[in-house]
Amino acid sequence: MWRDMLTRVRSDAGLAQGRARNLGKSDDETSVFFSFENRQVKARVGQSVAAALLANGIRTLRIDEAGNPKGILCGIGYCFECRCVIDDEPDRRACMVDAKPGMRVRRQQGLA
Amino acid sequence: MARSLVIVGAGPAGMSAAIAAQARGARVTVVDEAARPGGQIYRQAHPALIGDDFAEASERARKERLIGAFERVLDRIEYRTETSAFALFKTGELHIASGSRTEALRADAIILTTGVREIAVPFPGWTTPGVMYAGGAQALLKSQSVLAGRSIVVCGTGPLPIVVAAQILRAGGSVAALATLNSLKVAGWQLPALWSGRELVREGLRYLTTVIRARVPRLTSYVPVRVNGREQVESVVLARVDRRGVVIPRTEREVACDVVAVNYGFTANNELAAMAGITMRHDPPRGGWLPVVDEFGRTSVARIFAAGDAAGLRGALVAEAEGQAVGAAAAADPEEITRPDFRAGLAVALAARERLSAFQDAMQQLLLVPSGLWRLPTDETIICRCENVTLAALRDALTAGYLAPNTIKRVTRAGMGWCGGRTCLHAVSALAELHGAPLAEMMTPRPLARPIPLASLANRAPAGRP
Repeated sequence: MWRDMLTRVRSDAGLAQGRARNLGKSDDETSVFFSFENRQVKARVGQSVAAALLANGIRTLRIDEAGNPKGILCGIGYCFECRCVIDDEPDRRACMVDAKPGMRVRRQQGLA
Repeated sequence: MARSLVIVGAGPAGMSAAIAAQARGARVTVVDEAARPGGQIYRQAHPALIGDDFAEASERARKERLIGAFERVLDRIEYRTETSAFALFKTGELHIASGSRTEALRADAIILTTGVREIAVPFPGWTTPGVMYAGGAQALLKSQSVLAGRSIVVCGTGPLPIVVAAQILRAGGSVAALATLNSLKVAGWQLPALWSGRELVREGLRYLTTVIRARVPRLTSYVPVRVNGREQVESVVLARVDRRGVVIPRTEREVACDVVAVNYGFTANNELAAMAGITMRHDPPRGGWLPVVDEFGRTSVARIFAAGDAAGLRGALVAEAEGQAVGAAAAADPEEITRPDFRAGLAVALAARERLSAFQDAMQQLLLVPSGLWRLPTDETIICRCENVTLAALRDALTAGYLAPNTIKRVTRAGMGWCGGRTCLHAVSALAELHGAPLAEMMTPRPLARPIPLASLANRAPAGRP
């Protein structure tokens, strides 16, 4: 059963965010666009940068000083694992900054 | 002149204290890091994101009632959102930062309602993107309307993993497995305690029903022992542990997933209390190091009070009842508190606190983390994520005899990074104890409790009374 489950889940790209039943809809009026690593990302108004990136399947927000990829851990602002460079300012917590139109976000590499 | 009062935190305890103190004529200031009141348990989404709520109706009603009551006093109090309290001194001077400004506040009384944060037992691969706290995954859902992943394994201890798994399912997400360390049965025999918390028991059973109906594979006494995937989580290996928390050989099961949501309980946000020199006590099941308080939340330092989970993990309902009592006490003249009619006026809140605490005591059995679990990290496992301190490096220091948290910090840098030890301190202390550290000790908390840019410290308003 466990082996079956493993295969099934690996091949199942099914339940993507947009298709989840109950998370509300986003249309153009309630969307904002910002860039991440020069790629256009759509966010819902009121979403944090980290949440919007996650909704777009982007999980690695930072490469730390030792080269390890890092993503969201606490989701509420105290772990500082999700630090990104936002509008040229390093060390901004992606989980605490609301996505704003035209924002330029990139993965922080080490200290900057 | 009316007494001035500053409350740190706008969760259940903080909101309830503000309402009670305002009703008694105090001039109340509430500082909170979030944009909206609620704290973590009653976390609110941005108004543009409000959609379905995946919590039980009774839980939503409690949240709406308390937040509603708090909102009704907002025109009579000062409520400073997106403001961090980063230092508190014995003199009662509280330092806060907002935007690029800092300020020192002085008041007749300060109430710390700083709550708790999640903890985890580090395991190989736990720094891989996709491993997050279960409460973090829940926060993404309730305040951001985002599922943490396409296929989520929820694991850990206590009731939270069950709640999070159910809410992910109700949001239309997929839970690949629910692995819990302790069986619910351990709390099942304490009938009087369960009766006193029957509303919460009912909610818990409804969450469990959601998980069972969705046919989510449920594993009891299983924990995550390893994550596969370099750039992000591809699967997690779960294994069965015995009563001591030691992994039983040949019980490993690999489950494909892109998120591992894990919670091993909570630890108190005690930095401000300790920094102010308040006498602390060590109570691991209630959140580690806690300020010693009396029944009205008074600490060993004059004018500083503590309430809610920051004074001992007991949940939102206890926090609300306690906030009422402590808010009233902080608003009162110190002599007034000693009068019998003062206590009589708070009889309902004090009785509610006692009754609901009994339920939380019963639940604590579910939160126990046996010491064998601390054998999950291997030599290469990172314990301090900010400074990349591995178990091997930590063990070298411990073996060399550096057992006190302050010394471990100086020798290894664990706890010196961006988070200020909020993520690793609990693990460092637990591992030190395994290596024979004589007694649990506290790392000396130093300002700042939050990283604040030097420019903000320079951009400082003079000390004043709120």
